[in-house]
Amino acid sequence: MSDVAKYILKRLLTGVLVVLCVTIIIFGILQAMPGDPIDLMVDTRVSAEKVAELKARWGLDKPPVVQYFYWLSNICRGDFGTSISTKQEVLYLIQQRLPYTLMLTGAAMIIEYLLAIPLGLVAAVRRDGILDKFLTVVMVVLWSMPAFWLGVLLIRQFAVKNSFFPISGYSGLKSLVLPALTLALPSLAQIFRLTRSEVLDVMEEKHVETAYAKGISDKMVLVRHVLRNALIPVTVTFFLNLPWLIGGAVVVENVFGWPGMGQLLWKGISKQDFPIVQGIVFVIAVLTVICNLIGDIVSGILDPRIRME
Amino acid sequence: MKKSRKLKLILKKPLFLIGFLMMAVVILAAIFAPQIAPHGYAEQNLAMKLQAPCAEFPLGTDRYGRCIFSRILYGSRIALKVGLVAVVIESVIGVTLGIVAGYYGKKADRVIMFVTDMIWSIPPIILAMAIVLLLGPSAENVAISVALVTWAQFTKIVRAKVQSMKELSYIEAARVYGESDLQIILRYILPNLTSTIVILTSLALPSAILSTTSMGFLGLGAQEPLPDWGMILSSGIEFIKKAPWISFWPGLAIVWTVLGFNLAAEGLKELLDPRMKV
Repeated sequence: MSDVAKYILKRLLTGVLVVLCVTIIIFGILQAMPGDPIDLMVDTRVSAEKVAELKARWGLDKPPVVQYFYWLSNICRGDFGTSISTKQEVLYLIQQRLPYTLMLTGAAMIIEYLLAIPLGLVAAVRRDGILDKFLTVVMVVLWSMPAFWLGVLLIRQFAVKNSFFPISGYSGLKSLVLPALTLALPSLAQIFRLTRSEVLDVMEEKHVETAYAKGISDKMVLVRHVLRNALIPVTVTFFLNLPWLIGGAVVVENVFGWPGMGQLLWKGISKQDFPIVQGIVFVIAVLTVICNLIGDIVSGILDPRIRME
Repeated sequence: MKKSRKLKLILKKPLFLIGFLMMAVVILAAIFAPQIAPHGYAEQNLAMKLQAPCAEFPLGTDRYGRCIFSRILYGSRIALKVGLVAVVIESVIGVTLGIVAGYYGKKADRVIMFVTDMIWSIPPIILAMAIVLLLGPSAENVAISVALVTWAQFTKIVRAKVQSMKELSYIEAARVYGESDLQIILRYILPNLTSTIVILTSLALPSAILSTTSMGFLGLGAQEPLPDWGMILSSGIEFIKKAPWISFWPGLAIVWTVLGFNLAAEGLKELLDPRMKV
């Protein structure tokens, strides 16, 4: 067990280092931005002294390095600062939005895996059959589809033509259906392909042949011997995929007016609201690093070859 | 002999052929946009705003009475140009770093892999959004930002290839002969990476087009009155009840293009290196 512990510790340290570097990148990008939020906020008629006073209040007059450490130590205490445009606490804003984004990505994830794994399995078992070919084509089409267009089509079909679902916003679980589908379907293809190719690989292995030779029924071999092994890499992608979905959620939330972090981030960017953008990108980066870490650890535990590297 | 066998293989797979044809349509549309388009892309006709598709405006008009069909035709130029520029930049960065990491190993490898890890810790679209904001919204900057967040996919695969190549005896022999690292890389390693690079690039192109149109959708790409596909689509969302064609057709154009390039890329991969895992 000790080499597992060592492996986890190593990954953990790398994770922390990555988060630190990410904070520097975020901070650097926002520092390098041409517009100054105070200049954007105030009128040209406001006096220079007043502007300087405002800058001092937000700490924008200090050198960047000082601002960075100031910001970092605040973040460690859970203080993300105050939004420049709405004057609300960024932490509060994020806390309000985060559950919606997690709800959306979580639902999308469930849809994705519930559809992709059985379909991938069926396609692999009926390799080169009509169903396999059909599914492969459907997946390539979905993979080539921009989520925002799929969203528009779904809105048109199920919210405008017949109002099964609300067009936008959040009003109960029913409004979750269209955004979650929009987020899930385009990335379905990846999991489908992975499941299919893993199942095909495992089916050629000796232990599966042995199982068949022992006279175990096809179904039992598939579930017990094939799927069990094939699902290891698929499980790992579950964690690695979450950040991609959160990224996709930024677009989808803007199509559906979903009250999540993506929309907040978009508003923050268009208003050059530094604290909001910094806070959200930080939260998303931490989430990503945690997910990657869990993915690494899970694959390290499931597959001993990996932790030897 | 070998070539004709490969050609037969392609012809046997109708999907690849369809992909190449779809791709050809987009490229021809981009080249001949001024000849085909019935109107200019910025030509407003306020008397005809939100027109449904008709003889004069085959795909309808937007809120300024601009012809959606013409805008989509001209928009193919932006989509292809931005996608191509992004892929060229990303493959140059990715391949160079992949070779350096794979060939030199040790510290260089560790540093490059760490940077790759770091890039991957921010969802690409979010990082790209931040970079575009830094550079200012425009088609060129979208290409740069997408390239800056996606090169790592090249690095990983090229690195692994170079690592396995380094052990081969003819590279050892070249080293014993006293050839410099640069000579070895240019003479023996790079030529052997050609098919890998071609496959990776052709697979990266459709996804680059997809990402750049997403950025356009968020308003970060080419600015009005330039006809960015993503932007035309997002401008149509508020008219989804009255004028659904504004959002529908540019989306179809994106799917058509990305699908065509995807199918063609799959075909190319099947031809060059069917066993390669991407």
